[in-house]
Amino acid sequence: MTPRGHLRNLAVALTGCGFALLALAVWIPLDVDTGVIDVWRRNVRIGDAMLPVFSAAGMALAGAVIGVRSLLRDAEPAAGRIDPRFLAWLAATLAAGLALMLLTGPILAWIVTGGETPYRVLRATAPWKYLGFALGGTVMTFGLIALSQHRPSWRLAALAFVATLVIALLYDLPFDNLLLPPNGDF
Amino acid sequence: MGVFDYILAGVFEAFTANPALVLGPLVLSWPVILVALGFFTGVLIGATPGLSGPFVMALALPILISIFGFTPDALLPVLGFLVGVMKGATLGGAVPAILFNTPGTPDAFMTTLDGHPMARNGQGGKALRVAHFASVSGDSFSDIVLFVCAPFLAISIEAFLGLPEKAALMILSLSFVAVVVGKDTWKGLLAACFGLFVASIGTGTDSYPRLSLGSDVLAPGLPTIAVVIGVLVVGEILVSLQEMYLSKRARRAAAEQLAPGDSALSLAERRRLLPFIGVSMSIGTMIGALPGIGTTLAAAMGYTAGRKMHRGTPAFGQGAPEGIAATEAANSAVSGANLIPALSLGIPGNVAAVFIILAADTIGGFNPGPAVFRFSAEEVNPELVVAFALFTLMVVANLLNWLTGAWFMRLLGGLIRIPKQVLLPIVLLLTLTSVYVEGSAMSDVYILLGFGVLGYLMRQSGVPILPFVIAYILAGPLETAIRNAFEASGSDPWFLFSSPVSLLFLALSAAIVLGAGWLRGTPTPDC
Repeated sequence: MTPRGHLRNLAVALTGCGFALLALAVWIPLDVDTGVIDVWRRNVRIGDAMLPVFSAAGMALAGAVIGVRSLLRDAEPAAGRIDPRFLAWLAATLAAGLALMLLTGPILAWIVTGGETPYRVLRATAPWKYLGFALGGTVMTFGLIALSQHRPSWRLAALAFVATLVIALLYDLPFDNLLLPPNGDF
Repeated sequence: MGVFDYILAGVFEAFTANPALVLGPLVLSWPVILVALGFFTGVLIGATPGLSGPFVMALALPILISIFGFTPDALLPVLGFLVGVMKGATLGGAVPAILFNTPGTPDAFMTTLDGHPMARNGQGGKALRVAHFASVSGDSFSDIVLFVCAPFLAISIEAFLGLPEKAALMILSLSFVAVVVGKDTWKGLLAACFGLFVASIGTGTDSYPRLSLGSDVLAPGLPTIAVVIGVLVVGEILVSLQEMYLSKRARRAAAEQLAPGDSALSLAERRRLLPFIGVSMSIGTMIGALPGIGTTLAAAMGYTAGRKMHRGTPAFGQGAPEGIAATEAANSAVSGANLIPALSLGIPGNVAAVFIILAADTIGGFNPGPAVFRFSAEEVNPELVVAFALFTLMVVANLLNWLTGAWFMRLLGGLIRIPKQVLLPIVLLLTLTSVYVEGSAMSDVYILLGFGVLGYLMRQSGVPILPFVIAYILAGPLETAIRNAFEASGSDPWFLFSSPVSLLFLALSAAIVLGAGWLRGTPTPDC
């Protein structure tokens, strides 16, 4: 038994059982208005809780079997590796890219117009509509390329910028009614 | 309307109903343009290592819906594009397998065994021709089986199965998919149950949207496209990015690229390949008709059958054209047959079928299932016309494949490959943008990325993705069927066990779960 595969199966079992029990004990009772069986004007019918209750029960059963089995017998090697450092870099890159995408346009609009024109008015006009997407998209793409290549370079940054610009133009030029991220949210 | 009237109406619908260009009597319709575009894009993407058909489908679906809108006119162009991609990607996967010893798609791995040795012997062009001939033969055969079997199966289901039996059939299909995909029955069941649970968020018949936590984002239900693309495509991108992050091999020199060389394939050579193609395409079609079993198993079984049939030199694995033919005929025959359960029962059997059902659900006006093939004589069944139009578009894609596929494959052999490290981050941004433009809300992007991380964690923990996705798609129809069956039975709590057929389906579901070890004799980790 490989320790990693053994622990991974236990983690899957605990997550599955834990989520299912939480759903059965807390989420479903508090957040579904009708039970598994509902009586409405003397009609007996299936309530909204049926599907989530049965699926959560199925998850609990499957999780329990996976857990018991991993304790009792040899497990297979772990299917893949979950690398916390990769996940941390990935989360940081995506968060930075999305934050820049969301904030660049409104902040620049506020600086340039002195707060007189809200970003909502400018969101569909050039160059404002491209600013957030271009900067956030470039940072995200470049960050991920650099992460997988292990060697950031100006060439890759330029490549990421060009790719982001091409994507922006691909969606924006042919279609008048489409808004690039994040302009539809303003 | 009679059967032939419906077929004729479908053909007219495909060729003339949505014209893009009219030159006198000649009409070029949007569905035909889109099926051609999808086919060539599919071949190109299939030939690019690191990308696959589902990537293009995921990117294209929100864009196409944004372009064509939610009108009945949008249905055939969008479905045509998806069908074109599905057919093209399988064919394209053989190009890098033969010329670069790198399978473009997982099911083309077996093609490398004989294709690359042929290319090294200066017969790369011939190997491409063999792959094309076998692939297009398998695909065409599988489509013919689809055209005949899907209506027949749907009519039988409508005639013989009531509401409880249909619900039991869905449970049987779901159990089958949960068990056969991946290596662990219980992880498959966990994924399927989780898919059902996620699908129940923000839905239901009560005025309060269940499990919505009082949130306006969850109240209308999770955006289906973001959930499916997140878990299927973004999850795969994250796994690949991590592989490259961890692997030193990512920085190795580019693989040797061989010129196509000799490309002639005589009639006698084609005739010699026919027995191998015939056996493999039959295997691929049978496997494709079963939900959840993918092209990789079909290719492996086709190759094994071909090896047993083969006599003489070169042996399989050393540059035998029969090896390429056996593999390509089998994996290409899966695509058409996969649509048999999708169109006749509404049960998606693989990722391509998931996207076709997703497109139909999102646009509306076409609900894959037994009702599609209702041949009503008194009034026109518009869904049946759409189904025959879709079949027509598949024939168009096949004709395109027969006429131009080999030429396009050779053309791609000379293209410069884009490194995966550069390609995948760009595809991620494209995916994110595609999902955003459909809903114009950043919440869709967060849901996409959240389910992408879920897909990554599931893959790395050996929990299969396809049962989750299929359960998520089937949850709505399954719940409706169970509700209706319960009410029709007069609230009988044993309604699912009341007929021998539904009892048989449920017993089969239990037997499949219990006999899972035998069913998974050869694992098929397609997703």
